[in-house]
Amino acid sequence: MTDTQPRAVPPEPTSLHEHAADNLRFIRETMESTGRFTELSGLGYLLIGVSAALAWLVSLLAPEFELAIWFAEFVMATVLGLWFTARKAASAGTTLWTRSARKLLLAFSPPMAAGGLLTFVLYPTGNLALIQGIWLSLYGVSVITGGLFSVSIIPVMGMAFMAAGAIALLWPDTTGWMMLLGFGGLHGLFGLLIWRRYGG
Amino acid sequence: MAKAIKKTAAKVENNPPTAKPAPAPAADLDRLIHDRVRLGILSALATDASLSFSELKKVLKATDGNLSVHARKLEDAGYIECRKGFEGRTPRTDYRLTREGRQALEQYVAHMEAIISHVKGG
Repeated sequence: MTDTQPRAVPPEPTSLHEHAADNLRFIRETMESTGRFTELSGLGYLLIGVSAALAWLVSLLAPEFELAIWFAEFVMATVLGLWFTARKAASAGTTLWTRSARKLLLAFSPPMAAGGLLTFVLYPTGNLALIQGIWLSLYGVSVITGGLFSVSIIPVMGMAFMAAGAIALLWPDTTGWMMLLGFGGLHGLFGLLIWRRYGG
Repeated sequence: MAKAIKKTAAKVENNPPTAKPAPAPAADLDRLIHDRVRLGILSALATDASLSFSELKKVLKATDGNLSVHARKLEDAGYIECRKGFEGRTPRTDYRLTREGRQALEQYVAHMEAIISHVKGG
């Protein structure tokens, strides 16, 4: 700021910083008022991808426990996702219980619940390839519907999961690879993209 | 970027600066987006969403005339792009942030952060 532009300088520097803080608060509140939850963690997704790849490896070594291994991975992924998202939200001065976060969770949950029910019903058939194809497809639906309340890259990830699920259901021999590609690869890839663009 | 904005705003709310005030840099402030309505338009679109005219109007609580004037200024500057179409028989206008618009908002946020940290560090 120079003396040739006196009108640009507020009379009190203190009010200048208050004005700056107020502007930042206004930007944050406006972003939130669009109803989108922007604190999904890229690092969280990346680690979920890594843990899913490990689960896939372990399931190759102990195929008789495959369902249990993937159930343990589901629990691990939920913990990782919640932990890193809560961490990112806290660092941004918000929580997981904002209106937009609740809307996201509400949209995400029904297809996941349907997936759980189908797993329970289909388990006695022993058709694990079918169950895993359903997991990929319904998880994709969850990510798309939940992602409508977040940044636009999330529904794209959901569509990729649905495509992986469709391949697994149509060609059951590919299910194992689709599980690795989907839960490991897509989480890792989109985690990196989200981390890079929207932060960890 | 959403994280950076929210983080800074949260810090400021929790720890108001107490240090002696000092002159802050303002020469390179983007006057175009310093206006509240225009800043609001860019902020709303920064969540990566394409928002319609009526959605923006609702978020910003602006009138039709006010919003269209400010949106046009941002469009002329290349900060947002506008797409007109129809939803059934009803005309619909959608806005999206351009790369230049995102950069301008990021620079603006960085500028606000610089002012705050200057005062805190002073």
